[in-house]
Parts: sequence; structure tokens; C-alpha cells
Amino acid sequence: MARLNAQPMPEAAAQLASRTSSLLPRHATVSLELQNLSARPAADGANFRSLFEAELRKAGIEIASGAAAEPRVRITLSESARGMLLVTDITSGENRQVAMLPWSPPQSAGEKPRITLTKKLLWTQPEPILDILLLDSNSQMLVLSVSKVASFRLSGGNWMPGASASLVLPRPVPRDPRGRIERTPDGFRAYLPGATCAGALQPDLKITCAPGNETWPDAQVRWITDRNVLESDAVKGPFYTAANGAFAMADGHVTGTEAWGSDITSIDSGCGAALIATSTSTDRDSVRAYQGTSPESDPVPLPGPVTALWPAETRSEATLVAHNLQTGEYEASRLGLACSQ
Amino acid sequence: MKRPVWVWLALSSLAVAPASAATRPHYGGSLTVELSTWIPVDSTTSALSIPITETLVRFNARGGIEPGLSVAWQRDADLKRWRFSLRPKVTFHDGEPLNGATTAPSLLAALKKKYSDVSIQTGGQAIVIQSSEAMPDLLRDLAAPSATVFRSSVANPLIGTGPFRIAAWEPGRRLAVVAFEDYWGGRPYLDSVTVGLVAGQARADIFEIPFGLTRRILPEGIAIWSSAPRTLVAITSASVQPALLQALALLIDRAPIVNVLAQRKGEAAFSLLPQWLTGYAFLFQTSPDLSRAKQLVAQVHPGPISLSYPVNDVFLRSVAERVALNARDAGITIQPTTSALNNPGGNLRLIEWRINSEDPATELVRIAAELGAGHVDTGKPETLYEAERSLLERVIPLVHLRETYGIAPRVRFEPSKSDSFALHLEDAWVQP
Amino acid sequence: MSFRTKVFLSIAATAVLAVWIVAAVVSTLVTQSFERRDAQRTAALVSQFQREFDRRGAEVARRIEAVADSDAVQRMALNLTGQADTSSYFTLAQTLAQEQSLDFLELVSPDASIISSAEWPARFGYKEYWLTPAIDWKSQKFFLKKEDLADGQALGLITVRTVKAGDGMLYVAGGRRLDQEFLDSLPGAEAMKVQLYRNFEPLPPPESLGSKLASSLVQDVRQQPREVTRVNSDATITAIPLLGRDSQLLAILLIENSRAELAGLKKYIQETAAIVGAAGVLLGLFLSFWTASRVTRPLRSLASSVREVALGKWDTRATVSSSDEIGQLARDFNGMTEQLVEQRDRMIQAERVAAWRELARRLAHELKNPLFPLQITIENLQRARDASPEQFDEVFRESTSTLLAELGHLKIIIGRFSDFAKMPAPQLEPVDINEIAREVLQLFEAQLHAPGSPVVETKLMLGADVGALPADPEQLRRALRNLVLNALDAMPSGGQLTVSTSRSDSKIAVEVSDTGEGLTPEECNRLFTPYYTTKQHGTGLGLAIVQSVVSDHKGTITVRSEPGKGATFRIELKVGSS
Repeated sequence: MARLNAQPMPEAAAQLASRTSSLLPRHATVSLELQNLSARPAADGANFRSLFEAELRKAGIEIASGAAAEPRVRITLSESARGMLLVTDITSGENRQVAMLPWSPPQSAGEKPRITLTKKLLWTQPEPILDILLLDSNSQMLVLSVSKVASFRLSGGNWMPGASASLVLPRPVPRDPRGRIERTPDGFRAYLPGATCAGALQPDLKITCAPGNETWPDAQVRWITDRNVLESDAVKGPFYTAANGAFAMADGHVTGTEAWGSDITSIDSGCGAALIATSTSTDRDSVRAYQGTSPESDPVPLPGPVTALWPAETRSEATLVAHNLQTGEYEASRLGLACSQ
Repeated sequence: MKRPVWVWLALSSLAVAPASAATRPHYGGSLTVELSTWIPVDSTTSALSIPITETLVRFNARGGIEPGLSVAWQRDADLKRWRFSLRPKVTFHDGEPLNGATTAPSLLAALKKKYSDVSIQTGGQAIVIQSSEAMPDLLRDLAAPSATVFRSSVANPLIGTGPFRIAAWEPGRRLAVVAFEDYWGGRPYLDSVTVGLVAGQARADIFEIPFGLTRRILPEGIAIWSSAPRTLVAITSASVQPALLQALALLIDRAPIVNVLAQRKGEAAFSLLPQWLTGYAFLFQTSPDLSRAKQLVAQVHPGPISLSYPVNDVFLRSVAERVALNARDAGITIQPTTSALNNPGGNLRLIEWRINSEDPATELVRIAAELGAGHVDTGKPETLYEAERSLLERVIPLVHLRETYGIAPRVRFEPSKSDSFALHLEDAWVQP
Repeated sequence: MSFRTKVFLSIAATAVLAVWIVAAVVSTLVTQSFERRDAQRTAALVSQFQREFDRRGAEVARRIEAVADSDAVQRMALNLTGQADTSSYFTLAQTLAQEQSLDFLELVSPDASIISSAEWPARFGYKEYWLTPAIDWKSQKFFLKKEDLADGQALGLITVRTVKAGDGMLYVAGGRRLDQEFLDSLPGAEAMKVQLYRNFEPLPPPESLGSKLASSLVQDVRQQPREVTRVNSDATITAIPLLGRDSQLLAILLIENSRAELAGLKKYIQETAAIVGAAGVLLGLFLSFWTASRVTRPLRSLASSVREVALGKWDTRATVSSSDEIGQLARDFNGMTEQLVEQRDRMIQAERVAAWRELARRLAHELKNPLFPLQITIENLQRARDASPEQFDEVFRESTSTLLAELGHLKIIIGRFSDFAKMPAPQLEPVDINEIAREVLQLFEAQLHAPGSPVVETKLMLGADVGALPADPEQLRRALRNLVLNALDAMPSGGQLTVSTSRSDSKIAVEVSDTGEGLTPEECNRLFTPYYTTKQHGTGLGLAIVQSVVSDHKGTITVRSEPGKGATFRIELKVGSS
């Protein structure tokens, strides 16, 4: 089947009503019922029914008040492996006719953060986002993905895509792709397991990768080729992330506490310094701010697992990338600390 | 799009602090798998996915086709000539590069089954597939599990490009695979996976929990994963009158079969393909109607009928006995009997039929071929529905079963990549 | 029946009867003994059955109690509240049944739904309505019940217990089969044939019971359940009804004692009796032959002699072969025959004398008639010569005529006697007797119609199928003439003369009947004696000649008559060669 584009509900209702009315006699009077077999909320079902009824009436079909009149039209909000499927089946005595419409509803907006650990969505895309770099007073954004670096300009509150440069890597990207992009005087540098890439912004965005794992100048860590872990002279053994002297080791232990996941970073803001860590103590993905090992903020729930958690170019923020399991897209956000009221 | 969720029914709460706090995948380690019934190597008929080979294109979650070993494709307007660009820097497990020459042989063999005069021209990283007849479904055909790209050698009968390669293989008993370090999509987290056919021990990291009459006491901390219903248990008829088949369909009460015999590891089936796959299966749903069934029986006056089931299949035997009991209430004598694989026998047959892919059209075409039906039109959902409706004249679906596995606490899966159709071991890792 | 046969039969009958009586008595005593033994064995088996039944029932109850008390069942009962999911217990009954070696086990919810069934796993969810809380199952012992199975039905020894745990409750119902295997395990069963007839569908076919007696017994008990015993030549069968909890007839225990041994023994007795009887018959046969040789043969010989005497050989001598009564009889017989011969001779002699006297008398009478006129005539001649010589010539002529006539008469008379004396042998040729009869009557026509003669009506009744016979026609005519003459002579005043011929088999009969005075029996007897006549005149040879002719033709002549009713003479001649 063809890939569906998102279709607003009224449009879908109209389309389905049109197919349904073509199966009915002109000026027929029908009884209508709806059942929702999908995971969509009940309100969606009620909305759809209203829209569908209106469209049927436009097509000259009358809706009887009771459920006994024939023909009987039953609308079903169903789901298949390919997505939503809207079905009407029209029964009249022993006869039955069916109309179906695959439907891809529009995506709903993400949740607003609600606690003092603030989260601001910057960018979403289907391809995994490894890291984000904001430049030019946050008016330019470089997005490091597994296959490219893309540049965006902020315009009217929206990030407008600009140039992009493909990454030509010497090794296949690891299964758990990770990478880091940092500003350099002459552009930027991207660090990926097994490759270090030098990038320039002027005159055009370009990036050149060479095999090897360079040590990051600030963190003094480096990738291990073909893996998703880092190594450092400061600690024995590979680790996923480190912050404030704490290391999330590859063997699962995090120095200091068992409550943190594999991703930790730190934020130092006007409200204080905090270690931001993915949490393992809840039954869904979240990040939380800690002072020491004590949680300082409520957990910020995430739409999916964290795939990247890095300090931002300013220490007052951190870059968080989460994989939205609902939409399948990768969402890059900036975390900050807002003083609690 | 929200997927139907049958994922992660944990026997012990994941809120209990795990031994390790890591939330990122961990590279390394071995995983053992225990099955109660063997699955063919690289098969997709099971919910356990250990990919050794890959296809040119794949189905994505939304039903579309996405690149696999091919990154781009073009076709002529008449759909008789298709050109595929192969993914660069992909190698087979033995180091042989993926190119037209190495791709074409296995593809040609697979496509010849449907397109009798198909030919493949190769040139570097491109292949051209053409046929004298239009091939509108070629992408679907190339995404099917039967169209994987592989090579064979004396030492290794299955050399693929997938994340796992065969290390040892005792057909029907044991399979050992190791991570393919140079896999283009990134080597799997696991170093190795060993699959064995051992029943009842529950010591493996992942073990199949067959429904049926055996109940096992699971070790503490084991999580249970159930797939979406993907195995159809149905009654097919070789020699029974349509009216009698209709009567049987009306008198069989599926709820006890699902709730007791299958221990709720499934759902009542009134269609060939389950609701989650097609979205329209609910249209076939009916309620048992014993009086109508008796009327049909009175018209037909049937003699004793045999219902065959595979020998040694305890579950199907109990289903057959239950069906016979239901039939007795309407005055039909059904005699359950065992059958051999090459000699099905019986007026009626109890079969299990597994769904291989998440594409309803592909599955319906496959089941139609197995039933000996002719061409099945699978364009729109409505035509798919009509095609399935006509196939139901010779089949009585009973239940769609899930596959259930117990998963040891140390085994983790990438949540973003887990789905309800299969357990993808290429996305699994073990906690150290 | 010959004497030998009588002797043989009497001896044989005596032997057979004696043997039969002994055999019957022995057979009866043996039968009674066997029947007593069979009754004792049956009673013992029934008692065994009852004990084993009770023992097994108690065993079943104990095992069901163990199931009810098991942890698994207790937990199950505890969990069974409200809409509890029972699917996880689906196989529990099978497991428990196997552990306790039970053939039947069902775990049933309070609403009578089967949760788990060992004997028919697929039947979960179906209702067992007979399990109700109204019955105190604890006080119910084991009982018989018909159990439904996937492949039919079976009889079971069942116990029910209720299990209560917390708010939950369930029924545990189970037991063991009661089948042929159970029966075969009973001590003493090997000596008898013990069957269990299941009284539920599908009913076993009558031929499965092995005998019509068993079939009829089963039918009888089915109609009215009670213990019944029936006997036939092959077996003694006792039927004991086995009732279920609600007193419905579930099965019938058939205990069959074969009467084969008894039959064998009786057969042996019969065979022995038969052999002995046969021996007796053979003895009888031997004795009869021996007796015959001692008694019958002499008697037969004597009888043969008697027959010879009856045939006229009066001088037959019987053989005297012993000095016993038979020998004496023979001697007496010989004496009798001697006397008979003497008497016959004397009688012949006397009859000869009588016949000669009669002949002399007749001759004298016949001769006297013609002689007297001769004498008178000669005397007339003498007188005439003396007294009237002138008339002497005339008187001489008249007298010589008279003398010649009388001499002619004498010649006739003498000729008759001569003819009778020398009648020739008949010259045989095919003769139509009807024609002879016509000719003879024709001869007398003139005489019968002469004026002044008595009126005699003649009647000729000739058989159409008489045909011809070999005979001397002249002699036959003569004989017939003589009979007609006799008949006419017997009707001096007239009457009816009937001449008839007939044929029967190989004989031709000629009858001459008159309606004269008839004859007395004595006259009939003497009629054919030569010269015997009832007539006042005549030679008396006529009938003798008839008899002689008939005798020469190997025929017979008889007369029947009664005084006043005429007489009928009947001549029978053989049609075949004489």
C-alpha cells in the first residue's frame, strides 16, 4: 500500500462519507452507529461521527434517530498494521456492503514541560539526531545526524533548513549511534565512534571525516570505534557518559547512585548546578535534575528513550535527544533549569 | 501512529531496581534461546527474528516500502522494467561485496516463482529487473521474506548480509550465530546468539512458552513477551459440503478455545488475517448460532466426518476434541484423528498457518496459494476484504494465537525498535 | 410278526427300558449335584463381587478425598470466587487423576461448570447439573454412574466431595471404571463366565451376550430390575441388576455357569446307556436267533407241514427235532395227519361206495325205465302170440317198434355214461365265449317257444370287453348246454333264465341263473358229485360233465343259491393259457 500522508479528520470523514453514500440509494434514510476499535480516544470517535453525519446529510442521506432503521450504517475506527483504517459497513437484510479508507491522522504536539527542569523542543526529524549546536546567538543550528550535518536558520520562530553536508564515514555507524558536535574557531568538529570530522561553515557548509577517535578537548574523552561507549584516561573501563566526575560505566554502574541511567550531564544555571540524568526509577523514560545524588526536580517524562544527552555550548543548558515512540521521530530539546516558584 | 501494544507483560515489576542502572544498550555478551518447536534458519515464520539475510526493500511501520539493500529504485511507466541501486559498502558475511552479480542469482530464483519470464541484468551496483508482464507488486514481492539476498557455498549454505552470520548449524536442533562486525547498519550489540531445541528447562535467556497443556513455573523476574496474534488455527475442508462447513462455522464456540485451551494467548478468529493486520477483521465476526447450525445439518444429513490434526501436537488435538464436542451438540459426528505431514487425510484438517510479514496483501496472496485458490486481487482494502471473504468459503478460522516468550531480566531490547510482531535480536543486548 | 421278532423285541425292549431308567436316574442325580455346586459358586462370586465393589468404592472415596485435600485443589477452591479465570486449571484434573490412578476426575465449579476433566478434557465449560448443593455429598458413599467419554460411555464407580476454602468452593467428582477388567480380577471368575451388560446407549448387540438365554434374561431384568436365574441345557445364568444413585438400571452383572461339564457327563451317561442298550439289543438279537433256532424253526417247519396239509397233502410229516413241547407238537401233528389221511381214505372209500351206490341206483333207475317197457312189450308179444295170433303181427310190429325205441333209449343212457367216462382232453383255440353263449341259447329257442312249454324268459347279458380265451369250443358248448338244461329243469313252471358273461382281471366268468326253487347248502355241496341229481330223472351226469370240462380248462365252477330264490352257476376261466 502507498505511504499515507497525514489527513485531517474532516477530510477523512468527507471522503469516507462520499464512498458510503455512493453505496446507498439516493435520499435513503439510514441508522448510524459508531464503534472505536482503535487506540484513539473516545472523543475522536464522537468527533468523527459528527463530521461523518454532516457529510452524509450533505450527500442527501437522512439519519434516523433509532438504531433499528435499515439500511444500518456502522462506522468503525479500526487499526491495521499500516495504521488507522476507517470502515463503514452497510447492512440491509442479508446484504452487506463495505467501504474502507486508510487514514493517517495528524500528529499531536509534544507535551509541555511542567516542572522546573525545563525542556524546550528544538527540532524533530525521522533520522536519529546525535547532537545539536546552536550558533550565532542561537539563530543558527547545526544538527548532527548519522548521515549528515544540517544547518538551520531561525526565522519567524521556526527553524528553516539551510545547507547540509553528508558524512562519509570510514566505518558503519554503530547500532546505537552516538556523536558529539562542538564549536571550533574555524567551524565545528564532530566526533563519532571511529571517525572525527572537521567542519566548516564558510563559505559553505562542509565536513570532512577521517578515521580515528580524537580526544575531545574539553572533556578529554574519546570514542571507541564501532561502539557506543567512550574511554578516558581518568577512568578504567568504557563508559557511556560522564558529568561532574560521575561516570555512567558501560558495565551498568554509575558512580554514586544506582538511580541514574546511562546518560548523565550537568547544567549550571542561575538556579544552581545540577546533574541531569536519565532516570531508572520510574517505569517510563524521564530525566531529572539531581544535586549530588538527591533528586532536585520532578522527573521530566519523555516520549521515548534518550538517545543523546550532552552539555550544550553554554553550560546553562543541555542538549537532549529522545526518540518519540509514538511518532517515530527523534526530538532534540534543550534542557534548562528554571527556578521553582 | 500508535501501534497496538502487546509488549512487556512483566511478571516482576521493572520498578524493582535492576542489577544494573544502564539504560543504553551494552555491546557484548551472548544470548541463549530455547525453543519448543524448531523454526527454520532465517525464518520469519516465528516471532523470534535473528536476521541472517536481508531483502532489497522493506516494509516500514506505515505500510510503505523503505530501502533495504537497495537505496533507490526507478521503474518504467508500464511497470515492466525496474532499476534498483544497491546500497554501497555492504558485504556478505564472507567479505564478498554486495553488487549486482552477487545479488541477482537468489533474487532471480525467488522472482521466477511468480514471474515466469523475469530476467535480471546487472551492472556494478545496479540491477535491472524486467519481465514481459507488468510487475505492479514487485516492491512487495522484493520485501517478502522469500526474496532475501543470499549466497551459498560448500562450507556455508546461507551467506547473507544481515547483522548475524552463522557460526554453527545443526539443522533442526541447534543454531549458533555471531555478530557480523561489518554489518552496514551497525553490528548488533550481542556477540552471539545460540538457539537450541530444548524443552521445559527455562534456563535460557529467551525461551518459548508454548501454549498447550504444559504449564511451566517460571523463574522469578522473568518478563513475558507476547507477539501480536500471528498464527491462525483453522479448519480447512477437502471434501465436506459447503452447507456442512457453514453449519460448523456457526456452532463452534471459539471463546473456550481461546480462554482455556490457548490460555488467552490469542483471540477468537473469524477471518484469515487478524484484526491488527487488516483493520477490517471485525466485519467477519459472528456469534455461535446453534439453532441455525442444526437447521443446516438437518438439510445435509451428514455421516461421520474425520478431523485430522498433526500427530504429537497436543494443543491441536485438544482443539480438535473441543470442535468434535461442539459438533456433537448439533448432531454431527466428528472423529479426531492424527495425520502425517505427507498424508494429511481426513475430511477436515486442522491447520496452523503463520503470518510472515506485516503486509496483509502479501499474507493473503500466500494463504490463497496454499488453499489452491486462484489470483487474489489485493489493491485496496475493500478488494482485500472481498478476496478474504471468498477464501473463507473453504476455511473456518478458529483462533489467532500469539507467540509467547519468557525473557530473562538481563535481556533488554531497544524500546524504539521493539514491535508487537517480532522480537528482533539484532536490537537486543544483555546486561553485564 | 414272527416269533423271533417278538422275542427279539421283548428282550431288546427290556434291556433298553432298564438301561434308560438307570440312565435317567443317574442323570437326574448328577444334574442336581451340579446345580447345587453352581448355585454355591454363583453365590460365592456374588459375595466376592460385592466385597470387591465395596472395597474399590472405599478406595475411590479415599483417593477422591486425597485429591480434595491436595494443595492444588485447595488453592483452586480458594481462587474460585466471582469471575475467576479457570483456564489455568485446564490440565489439573488430568495430572491429579494420573497421580491417584483414577479413570475419571472432574473439577466442577459451584455453578456446575466443568473446570477440568481428566477423562474428557475438551468438555470444560459444559455443565454437570447432577452436581447440586442440595445433596450432602459427604454422606453419599460411592455409587455407580454412567460417564460420558469422547469415544462413548463407560460405567464408573464414583465419589463426590465438595471442597470449600475461604469464599470459594468446588466439586471434586471422580472414580474408576467398572468394566470387564474389574470383573476378570474377581477371585473365582476364571471358573465362570462373568459379563457386565451396560444398560445405556449404544446398547450392546444381543449376540454379544453369547447366548439367547442371556439375551432373554437381560431383556427381562431391563423391564423389571431384580435378581433372576435361568437355566437351559448349556448354562445357568444369574442376572444381578446394578443400580445407579437414582435407582436407575445402569448395568446387569451376568454370572454364567457352564453346564458343559454336566452336559458332557450326561452325554457320557447317555452314550454309555446307548452302548449298554445296544449291547442289550444285540443280546436280544442273539437270543432271538437262538430262540428262533430252537423254537421258531421247528414251528415254521410245522407250519409248512400244516400248509401242505391244507393244500391237500394229508400225508405230510412234520420233523420232530426235539423232545420238548415243540417236538410233542410235531408228533401230535403227525398223528393228526395220519388220522386225517385215514379218515380221508375212509371217507373217500365211503364216498366211492356212496357214489357207486348212487350210480347203481341211478343206473338201476335209468335202466329200469327202458327195461320195464321192454319187459311189457315182450310180455305183450307172448300174450298176443298166445291169445290173439291174428293180431300178433300188428302187435309184433308195435311191440318191436317199442322195443327198438326203448333200446335206443338204453343206448342213449349208456352213451351218456360212456361219454362221461371217456371225455377227451380239450382242444384249445381262441374262443369267443359270448358267441358260445348266444349259440347255446339259440339251440333252446325252439324248445322254449314250443307251444305248451312253460314260459321262460331268456336274458343275455354279455360283457363287451370279454374278448376271447383259449378253450375247447365244443366242450364249452356242452357245459353251457348242460347248465341251461339244468336251469330249465329247475323252472318247470317257467321263470327267467339269464346267461351273462363278464371279465375281471385275467378271468372270464360265465353265469347261468334261474329263478327256480333253489338249492339248499347241502345240495350245493353235493351238486357236482357224479350221478347226484335233484331231479327225479336224468342221469345226474350233466353237472359232473360241466365240472369235468371246467376242471380240464383249469377253471372253477361255483353255485350260489338259496331255497326259493333260484340258483346261479358261475364258471370262471383264465384268459391266459390254460
